[in-house]
Amino acid sequence: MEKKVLIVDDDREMCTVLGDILECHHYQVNVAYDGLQAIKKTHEQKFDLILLDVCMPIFSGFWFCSAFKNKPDTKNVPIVIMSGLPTEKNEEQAANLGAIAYLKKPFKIELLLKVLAKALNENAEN
Amino acid sequence: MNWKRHKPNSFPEPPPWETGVEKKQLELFADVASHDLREPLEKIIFFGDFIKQRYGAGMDEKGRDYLERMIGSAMRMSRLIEDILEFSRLTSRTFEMKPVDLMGIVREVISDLEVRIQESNALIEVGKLPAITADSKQIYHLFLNLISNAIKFRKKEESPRIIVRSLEEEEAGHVTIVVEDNGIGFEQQFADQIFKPFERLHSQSDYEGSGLGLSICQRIVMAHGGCINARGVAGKGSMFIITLPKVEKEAGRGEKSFDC
Ligand SMILES: Nc1ncnc2c1ncn2[C@@H]1O[C@H](COP(=O)(O)OP(=O)(O)OP(=O)(O)O)[C@@H](O)[C@H]1O
Ligand SMILES: [Mg+2]
Repeated sequence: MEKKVLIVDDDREMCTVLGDILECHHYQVNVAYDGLQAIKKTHEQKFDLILLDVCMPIFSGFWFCSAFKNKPDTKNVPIVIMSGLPTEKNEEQAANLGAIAYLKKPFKIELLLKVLAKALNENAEN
Repeated sequence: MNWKRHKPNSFPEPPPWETGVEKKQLELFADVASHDLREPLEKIIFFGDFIKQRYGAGMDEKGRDYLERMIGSAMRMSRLIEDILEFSRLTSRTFEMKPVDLMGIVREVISDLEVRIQESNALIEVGKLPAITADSKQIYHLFLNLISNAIKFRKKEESPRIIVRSLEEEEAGHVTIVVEDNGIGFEQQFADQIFKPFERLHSQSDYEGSGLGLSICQRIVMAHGGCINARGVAGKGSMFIITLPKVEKEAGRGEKSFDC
């Protein structure tokens, strides 16, 4: 069955290209251009994974990560955080907030696909 | 190699290229770079990669090669921007002085470099190192840069052997640490030049990097009230000698800015 992924990024171009790539690789894709929209979408339907950008206006990806993790309907949805911010600290913060993986931008598509597959796998095991 | 010739008591003046104007410009550039330069660059990489994946099969060899080069260049630029940001972060941050065990820091660096150490089959020997009062994050970066260099600038035909050790106390209240390698080395006449930002002696195609590592090292050491010197013999190896005060005197507690 096709896995449902929600992409959250304020950069529309990024959403489009990420969406195209994932659709190419048999994911079912939905996009949200900010976290509030994302929260609304997660009310309406269930996702297998959320791909979340950090640098967004008003509320950062980190903020939404913790929000998703505290909401019963999204608590168990694996979240992959992507960011161009310097790693170390952010990777740590992402992990502390319950994200399953951290993708440092710029990343290669190959890596993205690997990380998503692994995240979905790990989540299925638990 | 004769390291005795350096004088630990003559702590140098801030180098001329670190004067106010250039520093301000670098900070400004770093600000712009972090937001406005990085985003389009990330997209070039991303779109390029996507074109390769999606339409690569329909291109001829040459087309794929051009695309590959384009992605490679953009990646390199992205790394360069990151290094500049790192440089400016290290220079604008205030830092925390605490007792740090150099031994522990060097071990941490070695464990973080594990992949590169294994790939290059490097042997790293760590002698007994003292504890000092310093900013542990900065000192971590110092050894990370030095040990990464020692691994990177290795000879093709010989696995790297790296020694990190401390010398007998030469000056009261100071420690001297040496990082030496059996790599490709350099001509001694360039020993000062390599500490300047963006100065590199070896070509990008043979050894990649932006030429910021050692200037970061120098800033860190100077901000701690110490000094760093390089000794090299082309084809034989290099040695970096760091002298640091054991306890920082006046700025021992709290904050100190990086204007050395
Ligand atoms: N251990 C070493 N052996 C031989 N040459 C060295 C060594 N360390 C530094 N160098 C020379 O000094 C130059 C500057 O070093 P530096 O660490 O500043 O830059 P880099 O390693 O080229 O790039 P970066 O550290 O920014 O990735 C290097 O390009 C190299 O030519
Ligand atoms: Mg270096």
